Amino acid sequence: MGRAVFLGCTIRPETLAKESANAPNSMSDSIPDEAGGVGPSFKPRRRSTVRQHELPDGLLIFNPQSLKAFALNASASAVWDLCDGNHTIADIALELSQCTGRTPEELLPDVATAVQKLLELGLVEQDALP
Amino acid sequence: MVSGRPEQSNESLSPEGKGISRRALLQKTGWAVPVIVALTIPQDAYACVSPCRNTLSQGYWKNHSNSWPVNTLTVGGRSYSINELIKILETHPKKGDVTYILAHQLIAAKLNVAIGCPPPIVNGTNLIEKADELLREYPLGSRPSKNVKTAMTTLAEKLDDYNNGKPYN
Repeated sequence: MGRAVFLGCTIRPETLAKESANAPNSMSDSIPDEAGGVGPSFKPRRRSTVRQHELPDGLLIFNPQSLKAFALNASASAVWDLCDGNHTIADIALELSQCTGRTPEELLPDVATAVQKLLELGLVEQDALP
Repeated sequence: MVSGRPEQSNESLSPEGKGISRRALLQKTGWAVPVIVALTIPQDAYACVSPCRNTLSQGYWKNHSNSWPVNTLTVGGRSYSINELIKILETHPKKGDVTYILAHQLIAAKLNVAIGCPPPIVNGTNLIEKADELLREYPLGSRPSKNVKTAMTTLAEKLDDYNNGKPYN
């Protein structure tokens, strides 16, 4: 990710590089495998207070209430885009299948895990119970 | 909880357009395992953030209780309902009682954070937490000593600036 200006602050590339180097390599590393995670009918909605900044290959998102920022790769960003309270997790997998050449069934676990992580981080909320 | 689209900083495309263009990019690059990486941003970084344009004054919050994003708030370690907080906001500080002056600004600042404004942080110190600490030690109406009064007045002034969208550091 390149030099980023976020919330009026310039985030140094070396800071991002350092964080990325220390970060887990994949979602499966960064998210605990928890039983009873979100189901296919779960409708995630981005919290209105969360701010986002576009990057060439993803997004920076910032939660002003927890003072925490996160970098999302392109796949996680695409999931984030569809967390609008209208799409279920199954809908998101279906929509993303149309632009990735994967089947919805293949994408569903990745999408569910990403949404579970966003939920745990307080970046999305549940729109309606399944 | 208020819900809706998050603030967008890239104005070249509509939010929906950005989502579509990102999915188009995904079509080229292919699907990868979603990665969400926590970043460490020094709290002092907030010092370079221009004042939040969306903060609202204590006068606004006093007169618009229907707009409050929460039903209760903790002030000085004690939880208050909206009605109790409105009463505090309506209480004119007797003989300049600084505990009420600070509480007025603290309530407004907490409500501003609750609607999504970044908290007021100066040199790594969250002014809201500092105000809470002072009001925990010197509760409403306690008429603190001169030194404490000075500290509370300074803090109230900074929170007043924050609530009114002015530089506060």
